[in-house]
Amino acid sequence: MHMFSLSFVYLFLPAMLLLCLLLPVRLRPVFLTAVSAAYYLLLERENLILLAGVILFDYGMALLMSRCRDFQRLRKAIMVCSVVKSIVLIAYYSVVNQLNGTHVPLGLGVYCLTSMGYMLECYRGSISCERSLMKYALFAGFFPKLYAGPLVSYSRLMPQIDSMRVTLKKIGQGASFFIRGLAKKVILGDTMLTLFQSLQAIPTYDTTVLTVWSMVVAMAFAAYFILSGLCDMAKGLGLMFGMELPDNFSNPYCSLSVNEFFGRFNITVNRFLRRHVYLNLGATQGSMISGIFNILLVTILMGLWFGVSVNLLLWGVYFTVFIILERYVLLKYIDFISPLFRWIYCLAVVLVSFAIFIGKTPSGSLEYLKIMFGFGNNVAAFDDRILYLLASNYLALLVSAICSGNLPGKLLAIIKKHAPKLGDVASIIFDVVILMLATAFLL
Amino acid sequence: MKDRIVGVLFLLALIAVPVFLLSVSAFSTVDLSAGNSPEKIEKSVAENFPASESLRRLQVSLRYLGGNQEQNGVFISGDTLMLDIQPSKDLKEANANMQAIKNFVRSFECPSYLMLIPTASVIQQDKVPHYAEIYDQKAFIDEAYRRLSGFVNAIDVYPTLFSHQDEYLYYRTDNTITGLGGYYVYTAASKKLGDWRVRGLEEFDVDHMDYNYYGDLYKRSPYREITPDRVSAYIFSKYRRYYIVTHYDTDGPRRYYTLYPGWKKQLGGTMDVLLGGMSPVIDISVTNSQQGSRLLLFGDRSVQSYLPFLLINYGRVTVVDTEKITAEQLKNISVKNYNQVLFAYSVDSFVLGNQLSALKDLPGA
Repeated sequence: MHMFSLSFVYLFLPAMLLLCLLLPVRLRPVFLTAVSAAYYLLLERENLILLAGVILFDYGMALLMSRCRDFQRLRKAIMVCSVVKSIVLIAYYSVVNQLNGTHVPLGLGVYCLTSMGYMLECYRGSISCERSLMKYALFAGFFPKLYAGPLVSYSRLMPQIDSMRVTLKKIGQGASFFIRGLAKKVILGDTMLTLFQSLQAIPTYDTTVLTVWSMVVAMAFAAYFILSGLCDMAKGLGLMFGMELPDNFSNPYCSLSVNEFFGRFNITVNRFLRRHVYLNLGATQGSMISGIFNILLVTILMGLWFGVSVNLLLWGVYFTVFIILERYVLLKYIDFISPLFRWIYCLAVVLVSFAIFIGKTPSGSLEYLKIMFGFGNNVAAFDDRILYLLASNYLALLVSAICSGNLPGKLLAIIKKHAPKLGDVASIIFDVVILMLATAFLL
Repeated sequence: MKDRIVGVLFLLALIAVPVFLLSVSAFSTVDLSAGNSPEKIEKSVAENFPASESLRRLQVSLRYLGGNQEQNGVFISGDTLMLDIQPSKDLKEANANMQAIKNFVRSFECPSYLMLIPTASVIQQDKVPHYAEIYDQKAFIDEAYRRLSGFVNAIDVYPTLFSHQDEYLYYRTDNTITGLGGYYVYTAASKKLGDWRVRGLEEFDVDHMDYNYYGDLYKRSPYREITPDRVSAYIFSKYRRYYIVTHYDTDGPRRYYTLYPGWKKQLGGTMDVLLGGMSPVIDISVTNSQQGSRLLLFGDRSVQSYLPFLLINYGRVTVVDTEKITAEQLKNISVKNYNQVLFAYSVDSFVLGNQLSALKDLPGA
């Protein structure tokens, strides 16, 4: 019963909303924590123990840290212990998954990093530790954000948990986010993923230049629509229960530079790494070498967010090259380059990066890169198979391109600006229609 | 205001659907508690969802409009469903079938014929989605005839069917040829089997038995915007002929005195009317025939389309459905009682299924 299933949308969610509305505000966090645990148990069975263990451990460690205010070394040891635990857990499951395909518990990265961020904030003294285990559990393990984030800081979420006001307006806003996220995931994301899988199934010796370009485009769309769809759904559910989660994606494929791309793609993870790694290491304040190292580290970690593998490491290194290039070389000339060329440059860099992302091994990625640019023996530009697959998915590709630039949103905004009432009606009709379509695609 | 309206509509949808689901008896029986897995609940919600059929049709039609003309392995082309053949690269089954034919001919040394009937996807290629890679049935047929030359006489129906490709040769919703397609197969086969005078179509009475037939492709494809097929019986009208059609299947023999027992439509389906359906062995005798020839036909369900025409020139035809036949039933067949042996298969069943391995159980093989 995933968040993007019929039974969740039409059974679990109504029951949850109804009960939440009937409960007094002070009991809502308890209720949502119980619901999150039940949901996790339903999906992950025994992995609930791991989630509960991480939450209990960090909750206890933070309390302990608050009691050792005068023992700086002990506080540091507690913080290091907690952070190492989170890193080891993520690394262990990622490596084991790479080696023998063991299932990675749902949301492991999200709740470990959320806990880690909380511990670091506690250590720095920018927040005081949470006394209520129930509220802390909800902060770390609120189920909608476990799929793909967003990562939420304690200082942002906890005040909202304390006053979870559910109003019709918030339910409406949340419904809009949830419906649009659901549509992104099941209509566009899953279709693009299926196209990608069909393309990936073509043997390398039959792969053409157009096949690889189509693969990276399909993967780029699939990654964006699935991840941002899940984040929108999480944001929508949060709003319905009176919590506002931050945005995690903001039209990344409209970026005009690689730096900007990272500011729009997985925003909260990027923010987390900047705050807790990049700034701690001194950002670019020190020498150029240390600045480059810091950028390299953060960008590699951005890649490793998707899993531990050599390819993802290379993916991070690849982006580092362009980030450094932009920061140290292109910055002076950026104003002289037309936005169109900057957009084409950024899009090309991102699309080529997906050739590294999709390769199962570095040599596999290299093979894709060679074919992409027509190197190698007898690489055809295209063949009937790729034309057939593209023709079979032309509308989904077209709609994905339109939606990745948020054109429907921009159009609605223009209508709202000139005719607010018409804009509202259009927006309502849009939501109703895409809920119907998303439901149809779930059947 | 807009957010509140969306909120109200969303809540209404969220309340209406569970209320509807719980009112459906089939869903109410699904225990929502720990007894049922989330997958089972999800399946039950999908099956009992309000207007689920319309929503599914909407999804499939949208996918089709979006260019997806191949759903669940079936090509959708406007008003026609088609199936491509996807054999293994080593053509293991086809090779086994060809070897079995060679062994048969070596053992029995009787006049043998091979007729491979191409499927709609190759005869009506203009209906196949652009750029779709379809199996080259023509090349396969030519190769099979070449490899079996000297063993069997090849009956090449491809050119005849191809020259009539715009006619109603194949069912839109079933992966087999129509009665009209069967007629053209007969015209091509007549020249090889006996150089008979080919009867004109006007010499047959046509009885349209069903205008609302949906075949196996319709069941397999999720696409529903297809016009149903017309199933027709072709009855040779020049001379009144009396048939005894005996089916031998696991329940024992059953007998009809017509090629088209119409009442079978109510018991089984429209296709059960043509020759009384398919059985492991169908023995058809024409009691008042001037023809003494006897034909042993190893084939598949495509016989239902062309056999009524071939029967004009035979006194007795025994059809062996090699997919259904058992070793026990084969023991009752004596090849020497027949003047001719015809291996007649639709290309897909010949390429994808080991049709003829059972022949080793024939007495004398």
